[in-house]
Amino acid sequence: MNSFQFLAVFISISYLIILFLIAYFVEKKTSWKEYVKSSSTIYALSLAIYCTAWTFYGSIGSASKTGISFLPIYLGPTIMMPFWFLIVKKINRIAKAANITTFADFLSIRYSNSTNLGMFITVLMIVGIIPYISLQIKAISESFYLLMQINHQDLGFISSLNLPVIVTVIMGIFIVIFATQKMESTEHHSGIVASIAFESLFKLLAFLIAGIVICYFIFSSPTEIFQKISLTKETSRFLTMPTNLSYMEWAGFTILSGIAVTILPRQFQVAVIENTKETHLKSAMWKFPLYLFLINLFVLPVALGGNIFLANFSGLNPDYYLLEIPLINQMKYIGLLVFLGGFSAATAMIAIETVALSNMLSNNFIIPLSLKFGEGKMRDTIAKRTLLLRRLSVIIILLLTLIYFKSISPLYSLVSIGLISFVFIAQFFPALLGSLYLKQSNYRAVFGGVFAGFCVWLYTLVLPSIIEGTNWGQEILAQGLFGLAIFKPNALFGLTVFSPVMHSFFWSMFFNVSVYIFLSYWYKPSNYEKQQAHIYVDVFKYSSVDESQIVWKEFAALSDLKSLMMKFMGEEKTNITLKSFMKRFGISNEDEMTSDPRLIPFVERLLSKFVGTVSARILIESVIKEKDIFINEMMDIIQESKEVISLNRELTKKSNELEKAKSELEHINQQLRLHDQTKNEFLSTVSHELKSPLTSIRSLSEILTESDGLSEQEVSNFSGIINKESARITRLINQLLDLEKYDTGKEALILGVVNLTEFFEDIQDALKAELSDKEIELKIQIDRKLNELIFDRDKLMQVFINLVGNSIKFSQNNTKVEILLSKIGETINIEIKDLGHGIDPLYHDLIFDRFFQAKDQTILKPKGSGLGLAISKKIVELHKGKIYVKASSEKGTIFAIELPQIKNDER
Amino acid sequence: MTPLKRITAAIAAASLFFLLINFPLVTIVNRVEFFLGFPILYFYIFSIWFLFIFCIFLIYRRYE
Repeated sequence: MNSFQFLAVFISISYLIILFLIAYFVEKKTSWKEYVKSSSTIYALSLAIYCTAWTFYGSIGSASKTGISFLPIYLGPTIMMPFWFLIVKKINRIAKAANITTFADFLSIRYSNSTNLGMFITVLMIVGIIPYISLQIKAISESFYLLMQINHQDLGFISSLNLPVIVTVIMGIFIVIFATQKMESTEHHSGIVASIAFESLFKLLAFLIAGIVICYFIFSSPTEIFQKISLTKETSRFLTMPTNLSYMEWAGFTILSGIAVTILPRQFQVAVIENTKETHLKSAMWKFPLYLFLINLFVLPVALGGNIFLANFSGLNPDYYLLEIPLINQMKYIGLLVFLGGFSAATAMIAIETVALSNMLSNNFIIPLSLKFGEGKMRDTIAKRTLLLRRLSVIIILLLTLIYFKSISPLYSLVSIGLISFVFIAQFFPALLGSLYLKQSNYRAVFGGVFAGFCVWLYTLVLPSIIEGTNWGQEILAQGLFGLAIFKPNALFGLTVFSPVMHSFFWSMFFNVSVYIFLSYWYKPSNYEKQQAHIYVDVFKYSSVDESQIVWKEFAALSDLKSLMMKFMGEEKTNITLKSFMKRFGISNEDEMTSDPRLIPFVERLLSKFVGTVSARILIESVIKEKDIFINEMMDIIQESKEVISLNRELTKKSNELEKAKSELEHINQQLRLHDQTKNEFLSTVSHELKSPLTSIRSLSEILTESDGLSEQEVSNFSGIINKESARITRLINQLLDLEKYDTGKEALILGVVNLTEFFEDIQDALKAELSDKEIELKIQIDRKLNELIFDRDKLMQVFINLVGNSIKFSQNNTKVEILLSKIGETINIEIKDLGHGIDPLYHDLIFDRFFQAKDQTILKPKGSGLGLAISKKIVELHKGKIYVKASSEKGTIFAIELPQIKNDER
Repeated sequence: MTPLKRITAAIAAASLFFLLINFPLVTIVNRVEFFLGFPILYFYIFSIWFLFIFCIFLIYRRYE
């Protein structure tokens, strides 16, 4: 081992120690930790984990063969950034609210059957991503041997080292120390984030320095490289879009890598799980593309420069031009720097990808499985074992990586594995978008879509690579499955325009999306899925998704929940947490807390920090006494509230009715009081009316009996008055009896056909004396069409005599009273006009009351009993007609009577 | 600018970027030709790329 080799090994180990120290101090020093959490540049640098060893070495290898065809891998993420921002912002909100720890968590909590879906995703992820991790180990070990073999020096004992195993073990220790320290897998791993940000910065600087050295020191400038290349025959292959890469493929790879940058597990881990501030996403939108821009700046010149060297140094591997060009130019320290750059790219990727996959493996596979199938004891001890299981997962992932590296990876080049993984990971993209934007999305659709895409990917991309590497099953590649040409893995259904990767991307996405959309609409989402869809799709409508949004109708004993929490958090922290819960929701005692519907979701969310959402659900279910809301209960609740609403409505109706009845009663009561008052007034009036004639009768009869010597004249005079007054009393009493009959409804009409001419002649006769007294002319006008009418002759006669009598009484001498009789439609209109001094409009209604006496005696003097109009009104009403004062002024009054015509058959 | 305007502008810029570096516009520079010593396609794509990043920077620089 010479001094350079020793130095290289020493510096490599030092580099790893620096990584450990960065992680250690960031975890330990609060101020450093806060800086890491608050820096958007560190966030953007951690996103640069996208650039793995595949970028660092593989891009140059690709560019050396096909020019800029590698660029879509970086242009895609750049273009994707604004869309990435929208998607990741949404995922972030959901992930923070639900304590999501992995991509599998994110999908499985969205759908029913979450355990199965989580396991399914985890298994696929491991199958699809492990090769990508082993690719990094391959890059480290290959670049290390290249560096060590400078000038064909003897490797010495280095060759006896199993470098991949050493690197894997060191990475395993690093991850176990810094990523499985705490039980909470949602906890930000600031230490790891800081060290990978450092690695990103380091690999960029290493690449830029090496690029500058190659372009400006080994060559004089990049333009020299381009010029030299332009002299070769195959210029167009390097300087234009290569013919084997159609424009369609160029666009296709742009889209593919745009998808990959959103959904690769390591990207999900740094962009979502390790994200501390939403605003970091915004600056990452230009910082991350700037990083990609810079790291690609020298790729083409270096690749072409390498091609120029290749002419003189055969046996160079284009994938490692960046390392080999400085080495053949005796710039071994630049070579060492490049090696460390590639080393940093690879180790960062291994670290984060392993953290992401091992979290998935433990939280979505091992823990749920052991909870489901383990004995009850398992549940009790799961808290103690969580950390152990997570460490075990890290070891499993790294072990699988090593196994893959040893057994399969020698068959592939660097680039092919990367792109194969990209096509694989794209299979989850429709499900991811659907979960975020499609409420219809359901468990079967996600499962079906991903599975269909995965199968097509296996058949069209993985199978051909295996066949090419092993020479097994050549006939499938050449003739198609079962000899059917349409099933050729590289030309499915005869599609031959694409390269194998694009061909696989196209068909897998075609089947994936078709199956996904079809199943989304074929099956209805379950109630759980509907509820989750609401939260996922409309997450921005809520300031935070807190316990109140997800109300499970579940009950668990507080002691059970408490002991569950204590296993993970310890007694003290459990009590503090529960107290803060009580304080937050204003709960005063433990009984109230047990029945609070927010308690169980709260505890569940808390537990998912430790074991992931799926396992948390299983743990919670183990202590729950009643299962969650299902349709019947939901319907019951709805039914109940419906009933309450309708009951309420009825009550309102009833109360309105009561209100109405009450006001009616009040009205009646008021009327009764009024009637009572009227009755009192009536009685006093009647007594008065009876008293005055009686007084005169009594006094006159006393005079007649006690006083002798009255002249005959006087006797006859007095007896005349007595007679008249008695008649008045009789009339009054008769009228009162009449009224009483009408009031009680005892009086019935005696209808008969009446000849109108005769009828009015009789009236004229009856009033002859009064008319001639005042020399008043009674004029009667009857509509010619009317000869005979049916009514109660005697009663109406009474009405007319009364009304006309009144008119005569209030008329001046030598005037006239008119009676007009006409027929409009089915109504008989009667008007009685006089030229008297009129009735004050105030009294138009009152005059029909019994014993009404106008206050203003000048207008209406009470003559007669005061009952005439009241009786007239009763009679007219008995005929179903009405009587009223139609008009009145100082020049006269018109009384009107409207009677419905009575037909013969109505009698 | 409101957040909605920002993201709309960013998406518009991304769409334009996608158009500029894809068929058919990219065929204009897809030639073996040099500009300041650089292959014209390489120069074109990196310039547009940088301009796009600068646009996003302008839209979101307040968050620095």
